[in-house]
Amino acid sequence: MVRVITTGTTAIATAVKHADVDVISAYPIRPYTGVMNELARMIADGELDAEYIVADSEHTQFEIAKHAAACGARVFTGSAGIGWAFAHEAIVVTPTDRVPVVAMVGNRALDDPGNFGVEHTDVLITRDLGWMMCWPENPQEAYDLTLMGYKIAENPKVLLPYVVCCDGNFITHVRFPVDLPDEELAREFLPPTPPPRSNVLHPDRPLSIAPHVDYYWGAEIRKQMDQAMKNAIEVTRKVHEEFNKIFGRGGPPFIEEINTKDADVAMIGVGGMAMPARAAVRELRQKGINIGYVKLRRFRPFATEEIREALRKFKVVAVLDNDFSFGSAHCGGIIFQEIRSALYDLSEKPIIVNYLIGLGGREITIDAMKSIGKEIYEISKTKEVKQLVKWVGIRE
Amino acid sequence: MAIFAVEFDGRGVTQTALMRAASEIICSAADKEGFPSLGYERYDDAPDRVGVPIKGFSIISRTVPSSYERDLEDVAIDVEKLSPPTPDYSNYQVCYDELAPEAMLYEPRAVDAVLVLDDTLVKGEEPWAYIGVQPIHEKLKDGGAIIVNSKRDPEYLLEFIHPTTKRYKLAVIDADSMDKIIILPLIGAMLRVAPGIVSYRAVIATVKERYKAEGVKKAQVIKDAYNKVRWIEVPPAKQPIQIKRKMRLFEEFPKWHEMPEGIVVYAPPVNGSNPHFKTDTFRTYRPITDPNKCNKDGLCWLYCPDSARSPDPETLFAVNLEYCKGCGVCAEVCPTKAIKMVNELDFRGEKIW
Repeated sequence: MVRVITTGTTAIATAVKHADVDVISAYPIRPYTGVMNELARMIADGELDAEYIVADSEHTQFEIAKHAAACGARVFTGSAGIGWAFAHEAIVVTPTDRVPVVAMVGNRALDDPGNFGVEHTDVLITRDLGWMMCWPENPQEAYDLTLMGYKIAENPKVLLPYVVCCDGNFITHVRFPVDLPDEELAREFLPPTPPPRSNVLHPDRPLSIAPHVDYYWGAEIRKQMDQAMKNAIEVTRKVHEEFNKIFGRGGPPFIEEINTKDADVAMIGVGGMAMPARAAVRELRQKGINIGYVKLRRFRPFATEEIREALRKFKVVAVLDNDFSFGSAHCGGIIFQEIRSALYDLSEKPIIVNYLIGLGGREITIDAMKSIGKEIYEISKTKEVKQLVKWVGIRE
Repeated sequence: MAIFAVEFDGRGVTQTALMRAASEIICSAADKEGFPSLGYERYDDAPDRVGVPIKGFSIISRTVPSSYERDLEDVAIDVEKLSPPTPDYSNYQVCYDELAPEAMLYEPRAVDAVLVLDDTLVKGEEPWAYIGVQPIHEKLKDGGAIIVNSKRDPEYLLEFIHPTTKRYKLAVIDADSMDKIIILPLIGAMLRVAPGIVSYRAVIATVKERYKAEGVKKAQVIKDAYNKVRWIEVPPAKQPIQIKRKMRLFEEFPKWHEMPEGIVVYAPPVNGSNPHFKTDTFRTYRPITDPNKCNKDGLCWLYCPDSARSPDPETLFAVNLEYCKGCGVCAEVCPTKAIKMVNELDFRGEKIW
């Protein structure tokens, strides 16, 4: 193992190298570009042997990834913001074709206005389509989740695409200390050849993938995907367990609870905001506010049981969304909707409030986290919610 | 426990890679002592524009500052023989916990040292990420140090630096003449004038490792700079000065319901320039026209990529210095070689704030 000081993009590229991918399709868009640059360098320096195809657009890029995966190749691709949105015709069909594409999204606010800053809405527009989604807190976790991605996606019970979503700048462009394992250890966890599957294009056994169907077939095809996503929960648990055993890190598969013991209230969110949240929780606890943070590591599949178990013990839960869903129930964020829905039929459940934070890439500070903590602690005392959905730090 | 930060100030394209290297060296050195660090170049700076001022940072969390006395002892040892420090990782996790939230900010709130790769930047910077002029010591802690790559004296450079109520050290090292990797002399000088951030021994070990076959030679550059650096103590000014084109405070921007719907930005008047964003701090060299050589053909006006020149021949196609980036295209296309590019720091006595 070697400790390097490097960015999330390089950490992900290293995981891709350790996965010994066969095909990489690329098209630049910040903040994903760092991954394709690093992979190109690895190939040029002879560290990695893979086909590297620079497409003419994100749309073609994701088509290439899908088709290469359909031929049985292990692939990597990625994009960000509006690039991810532009590729959607290919992104929509990738899960349906049941090909284990692994991608990285450097989260970026959707245009317009042009903005490099992080918002999670870019990848969340895909949330219902069959892509597995996870959010690392730092480059270390970005490496880990990428390597695990291949193992989960390629499992014959799953065969769904997988996307690692990284906060633009804060994780993609900031150099952190990262422990990179030896290639042999990575190979021990993830053998270079994916497990065999039947839906592979090969001249020896001609077949057709995704012909047009009529109404005799469509619903059953959807049901297969539903089952695959359900299977992914158990497969993810097992892969995490194995990862933990081999590497001695990796944490629980779906949620990580931080200082939640005896906590009256908690915040829950995805990605890098866990860093200021941890600090805020530490500081508030010193002031006698019993607060915890729940880090949602994976959003698809959504581990309903784990999340219900984790959150039911609190009096108040604040869902932190760096995304939006205009005109939705209570006009709250996307993750908020889902968490409220998951807890609805519990007989005793926390009050759930929503904070939209970090939109447009705005800094997420310890102070902002602390004031949210204080507000929900107040709600736990008074049981009175003045504002269900709040925009943090907005000029109003 | 304390957070230490170093700022690197350079120019887009030509110095981007150097700034990253500087940040990596300081972060790796901290790691060799057993302390975690973060490094980044400011995200919105758009460093793919030639000459644009850009900033990079190294942020380190450590239990105790490194020892100045220990550094002095180590400097006396031959760099080849100087062994790497023995890292102590016992406080690593505690330090990391304190450091990690810094990753969610675009800039550290305060820095201990500012390393300036191009001396013309001491006049202040207006990068992409920041609309308004940022004085060179904007983020500097009281008592911090500014280390400039320059052939000039610190007293001379001080004429171009915004007066501030902060007390600081202004150091100069002629890095260009010492090594083509100009950040090495700057780091060596920093170790001397801003001790405590990382140890000399850790930096020498990092540089030896990083530059492999040339490692010892490059480590010697660090040592030479440590010994050669000249600096002055700058006393605090009595009053804070008014900064030209100061960036508005966050709260001063319009509220969401005051902004025009649909991301509307009104165009500048015809033949006018963008009043919101000026590019004079991109400039290292200023075009000066010799009236005796100028034939008034107007090619300089025609070719100016920023439309910074007036079409009026009587003014010798006067340059609007708020927009001239100093690219030198006008000097290049002038058939009579009437335009000379002159270093910005040769213009003494101008009002710059």
